[in-house]
Amino acid sequence: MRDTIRLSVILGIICVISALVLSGMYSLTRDRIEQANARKLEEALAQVLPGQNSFKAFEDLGNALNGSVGSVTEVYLASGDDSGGIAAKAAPAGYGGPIEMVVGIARDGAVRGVRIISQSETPGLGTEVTRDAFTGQFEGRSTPESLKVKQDGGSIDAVTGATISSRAVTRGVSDVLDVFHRLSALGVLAGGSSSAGEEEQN
Amino acid sequence: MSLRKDFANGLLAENPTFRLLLGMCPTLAVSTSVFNGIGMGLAATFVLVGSNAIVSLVRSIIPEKIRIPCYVVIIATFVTVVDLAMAGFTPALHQTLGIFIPLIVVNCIILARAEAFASKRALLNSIADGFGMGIGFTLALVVLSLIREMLGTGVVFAAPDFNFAGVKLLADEYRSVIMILAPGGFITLGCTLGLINWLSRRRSSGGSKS
Repeated sequence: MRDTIRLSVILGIICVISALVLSGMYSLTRDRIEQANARKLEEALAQVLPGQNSFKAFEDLGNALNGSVGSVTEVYLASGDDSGGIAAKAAPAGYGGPIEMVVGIARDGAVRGVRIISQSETPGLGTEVTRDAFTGQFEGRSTPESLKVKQDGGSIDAVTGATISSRAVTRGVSDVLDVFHRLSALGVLAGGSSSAGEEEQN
Repeated sequence: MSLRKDFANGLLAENPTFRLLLGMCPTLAVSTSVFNGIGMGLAATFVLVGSNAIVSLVRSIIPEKIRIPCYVVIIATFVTVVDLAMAGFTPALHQTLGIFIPLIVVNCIILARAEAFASKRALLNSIADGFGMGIGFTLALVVLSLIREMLGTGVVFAAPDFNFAGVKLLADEYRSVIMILAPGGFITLGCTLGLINWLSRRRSSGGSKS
């Protein structure tokens, strides 16, 4: 009995020390990790919407579109000289988990760039969708309807042996395009039809 | 036993993958490309050295009866600390090696070496053992992933994180995708183990046959 208590106390002490070390490390690195992630996101946003370097997060996405946003997780409105476009983060389900990607859409509604940030697809197969040869196909497209892989009657060439991953990326792009059109109809995008909406603020 | 012997032990004589058959799960999972193999191997080596060192340092104050849960807590803490430190201070390295860190938690090589070696030996010997086992694990992963990547994709040393497309060895029509999927992992591991056993048996039976 005494032995049981002694062993429990020792194990407890080791766990407490571990917890202290972990929380110390966490608070030491938290700010740096957040900064690094923010920088990574900024770089990705600038890459999918070239020429834009100022982005503002659109906070109220779920409410503005009644919650139906597909695989889109975050939307950033481009502000600055050439505003009116959006860059959005989407995470459609791939073969091995969500495929995190950013999609840039110019103010005229054409896809400017697609970039995969993180994925866990099959190495050598599904991972091919991260290459420019695949993602480049989306550039310039502006109608969600044509954004399907060829097997589904669209015009996107799926990567051989990785139809599920290709389909997922394609759905991500078409979801973002759909969100863009609906935001545009609501008039929240700067420039174009949204000039009335801007005046209403303050 | 000398430090050098402890180090060399993990390379061939007690290679964790080919001899001790430890850590099969991560081995099958990451040996799909040489790049992945090296990444996992290096990350595991680092954790092995660290966890061996810590376990060796505290070996006298941990009671025999609860040593396993203690090692689990220590190793899990160390892996998480390494993960956080990498993400915070070396984001570029974390981007490349980060995906392997959570896999290391389920790597039983770490716990096996803590239990079989570090809990009984001095600090420096334990560090040498960690290095040897880690490098041995890396070598085994490189051997397996070289075979699988070549047969499965026709290309070796592809490193998408460094924008390197790899060296093309096989024409596309000769590659078979199954080799980089799970069945190919079992086939490659089984054949390699068989070959190694055959070679070592032939060597130990001496020159009596030839």
